[in-house]
Amino acid sequence: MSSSPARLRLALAAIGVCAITLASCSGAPSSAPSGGATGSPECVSAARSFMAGYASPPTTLPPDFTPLSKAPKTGGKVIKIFNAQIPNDVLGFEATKGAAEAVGWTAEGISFNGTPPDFAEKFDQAIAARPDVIMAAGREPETFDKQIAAAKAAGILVEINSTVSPPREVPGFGAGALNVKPQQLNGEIAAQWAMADSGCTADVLIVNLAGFPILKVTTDRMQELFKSQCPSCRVTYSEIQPKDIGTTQGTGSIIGALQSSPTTKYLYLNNSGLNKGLATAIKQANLSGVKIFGVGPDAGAIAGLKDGTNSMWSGGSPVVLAWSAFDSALRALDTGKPVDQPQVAGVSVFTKDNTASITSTPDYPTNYQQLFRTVWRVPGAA
Amino acid sequence: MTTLPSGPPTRVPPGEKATWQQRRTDFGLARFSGVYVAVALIIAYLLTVPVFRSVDVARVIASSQAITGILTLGLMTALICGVFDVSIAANMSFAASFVGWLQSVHDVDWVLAVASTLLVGGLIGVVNAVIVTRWHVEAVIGTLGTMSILAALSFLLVRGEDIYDGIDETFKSVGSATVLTVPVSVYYLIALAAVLYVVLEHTPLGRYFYAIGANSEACRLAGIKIVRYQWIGLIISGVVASLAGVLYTMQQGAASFGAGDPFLLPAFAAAFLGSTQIKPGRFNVIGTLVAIYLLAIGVKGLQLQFPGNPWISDLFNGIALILAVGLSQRALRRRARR
Repeated sequence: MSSSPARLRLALAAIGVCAITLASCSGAPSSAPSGGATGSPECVSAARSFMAGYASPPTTLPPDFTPLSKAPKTGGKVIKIFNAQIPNDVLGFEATKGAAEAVGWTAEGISFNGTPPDFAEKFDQAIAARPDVIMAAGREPETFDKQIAAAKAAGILVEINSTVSPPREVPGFGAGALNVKPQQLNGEIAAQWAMADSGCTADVLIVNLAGFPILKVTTDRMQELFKSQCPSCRVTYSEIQPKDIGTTQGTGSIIGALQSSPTTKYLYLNNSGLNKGLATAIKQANLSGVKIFGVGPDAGAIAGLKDGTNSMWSGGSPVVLAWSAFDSALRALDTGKPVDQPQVAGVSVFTKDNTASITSTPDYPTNYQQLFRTVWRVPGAA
Repeated sequence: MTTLPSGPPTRVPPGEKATWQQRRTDFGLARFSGVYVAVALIIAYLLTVPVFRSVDVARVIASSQAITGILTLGLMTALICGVFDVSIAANMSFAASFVGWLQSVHDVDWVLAVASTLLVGGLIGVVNAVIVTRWHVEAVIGTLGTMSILAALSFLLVRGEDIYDGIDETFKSVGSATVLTVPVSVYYLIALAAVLYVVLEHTPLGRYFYAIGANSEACRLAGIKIVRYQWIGLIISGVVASLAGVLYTMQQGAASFGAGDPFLLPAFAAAFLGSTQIKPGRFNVIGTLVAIYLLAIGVKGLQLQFPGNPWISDLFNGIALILAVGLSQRALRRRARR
């Protein structure tokens, strides 16, 4: 009987085609209103006014960096847990050493391999070394409560950066930097730039990394601003899995989203890793006029700004961010109260116009070491 | 050693002409399930996803898989002669960093940098061959060790950083050019596939590769120098992996640290899915290409229809792999029973 298998194959093929057709027809509804032709003057004016504040690199520390009540006691020790596989983490640790030395402290680094079990193990190792401060980043404190409790019992201040959880107590988890407010500011800069650049008619695709609550803070703020300030703007939100960063799957997903919405001309990336290979993929897809912008530029983003494939990146250098983070710890020890730094120093806006002579994010303000020494009341700094 | 269940013997005795029935069944699901699924997908997407009708989408599908295709063909060569080369992706990563490092840090001419990188890729193949055939370390374990060492060497070389400056402009343009609007990387894939097809299907070397992969003990008893051919297979795999790294760097205009790592699983998936196509039970060039583009077409259509769903490509890849292999195996079993 040959007709039965033939019928089966036909049926299988038909089922396959129908299933895909039905799935496709069910389509995802657009999550944003359609864009208008012109933006409101109020929106344009507000956006341009906001961006005027970032027209030149910062020359001072933000206003919240007030002088400490007294110079920190010398001889302190900070241990930073970092991932040695990530160049910016290594750079940040080296910068922390410099910041610690500025107040007569020592800094030690413990490298972990990026996994939660190794992080917990290295945190225990750090507690055993009895430092004054343990610093880590990108981990929600709830995931290592046991270690934080042990640190508190040992009288150690724990600083967690890039987390949505506010610091609670000193000692224990009592300091943070690059948390909710600085991330919201990142979102505001990005949204205001797109509005100012487009005359408040931007059609934006926001691409975020899935699984990081702190990054969602930035994109949520962006969407809020577009909604409240720019009725003619259109925003689409998309996520990429961390494992797909820099892969054909990751870039393919972004390109697919752009191709399915040809009016989208602003592409926001919440992580510079997402930028890898994107300019080439956009060129191959023959997508014209797409402006890539984002937060936290790496060398690739700077190179993209220089060659015109990227349009704007905002952020600060890992070095100045590390000094800002160390400031948060000193401030918590100074006051004995939890400190959640509302801003970080050195946040700048980079475009083609101001990147001709640089290959990585510059350390702004250029005299940041002197400025920090002054607010830390280091003898002889003022 | 890797052996796959071989397909049923040909139903047409040598020298005899195939009947209509025999010719018809040659185009059955056992060999062409991937092609049929791909065609069904294309039709479905053309009907339901307007943007899929654009030539640009076809170009993106073709070009996005070129590097994956090249790496998979290298892997396939090692697999054909019965050796798993798990180090291919790390080899590609190392090549990407190395070719950028030579140009950026040492100001080496790009042609020399490319030649040196391919040579190093071949040397990595030699090291793998020594580990597997001389030290008799199981291929998976041995090349896993090489993979780990290469990852460390890549990091030491560039300190985990991407290289953007100092890369020759001609080098970049060779990799990012288009010919008849098609990215040149697609032509590299076609050229490599053509060379490997001829070598594997129409030369004694290819036949020895397949014979060793199918039954190395029988080959040894027949006097075939198994070790020599496995060396050749691993060296080809090493050179092709480094070629993939070089082409990726050319295409991107930058040497990305760890560029090859995300390609490991797709390459293995495509190689094994490819072994169920065209010549079921054998790793083969055309089947591999069918597998790569089947997955690419399926994922692309879904990405266009459902943008913003990061899980959709994983879901499709998993379902497609199981379906295509399942259909092929089912058809093979049915044919074997007849």
